Amino acid sequence: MSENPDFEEFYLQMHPRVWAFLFRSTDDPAVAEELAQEAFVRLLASRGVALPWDERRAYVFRIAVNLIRAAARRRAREGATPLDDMPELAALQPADPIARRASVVFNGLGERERELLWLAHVEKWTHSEIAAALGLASGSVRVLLHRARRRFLERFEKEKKNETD
Amino acid sequence: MRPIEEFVDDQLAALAQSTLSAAPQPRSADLVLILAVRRHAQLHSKRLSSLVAAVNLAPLLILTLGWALRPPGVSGVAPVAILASLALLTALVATQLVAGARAGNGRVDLTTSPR
Repeated sequence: MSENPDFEEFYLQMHPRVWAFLFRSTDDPAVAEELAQEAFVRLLASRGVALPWDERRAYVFRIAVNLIRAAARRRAREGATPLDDMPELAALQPADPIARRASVVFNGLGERERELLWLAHVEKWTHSEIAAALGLASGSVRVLLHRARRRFLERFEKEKKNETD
Repeated sequence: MRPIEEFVDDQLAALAQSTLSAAPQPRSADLVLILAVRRHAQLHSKRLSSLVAAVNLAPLLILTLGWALRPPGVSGVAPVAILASLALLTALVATQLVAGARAGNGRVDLTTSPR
């Protein structure tokens, strides 16, 4: 039992959500796990831990977004790991065909588009919350989200066509 | 909600459900707490080192200022020796003060962090 029960409750509830967001953004389960842990360590070492639940949730996601950016820069510097070298990724492919197709379509989107769609449609955040987390102007979230949805739909149609061909 | 929003909502709901069910078991909260305390200590020690390094520049500043502002006609080894002693003594006292003050304020107890 942790000596900080409030943090423990927050951590246990939010860890899977933060991991899911990181995994869907990075497409690498191991990196997602490492970054999720780092996000909570940074949260604890910062003043963010004292924030009310909702703000703390936004804070930890903001840390996660920064970690994704840093990891992407690091990966670009060091060279990406080929997907064949990540056998655990195959094990994480959804069994449900709808989710599997959504996964393929989603992975084909850009990093920013994935983050926008995930925060809006999975985490159900408002535009201003998304803007704060992603460091965007509040007004541009609406436009970017609309574009991301259109791109998702286009890729979905393409994927569906590929499956039937 | 517009049809495209509804469609993306449905698709991502299915994806989120499958992703969340595959999420790994989080490591112990205590481990995260320990790592955070260590991280906090590392940051604190870095700041302290920077401060001590800055304080150690004091002798150079005192020597330069003292020599620049010396009364006309004063030269030789004695003023330099006095200035150097003064500067070193100041740096020593300042370092001790900084280290003592920072050590006193630097205790981290995250277990009592605000709820």
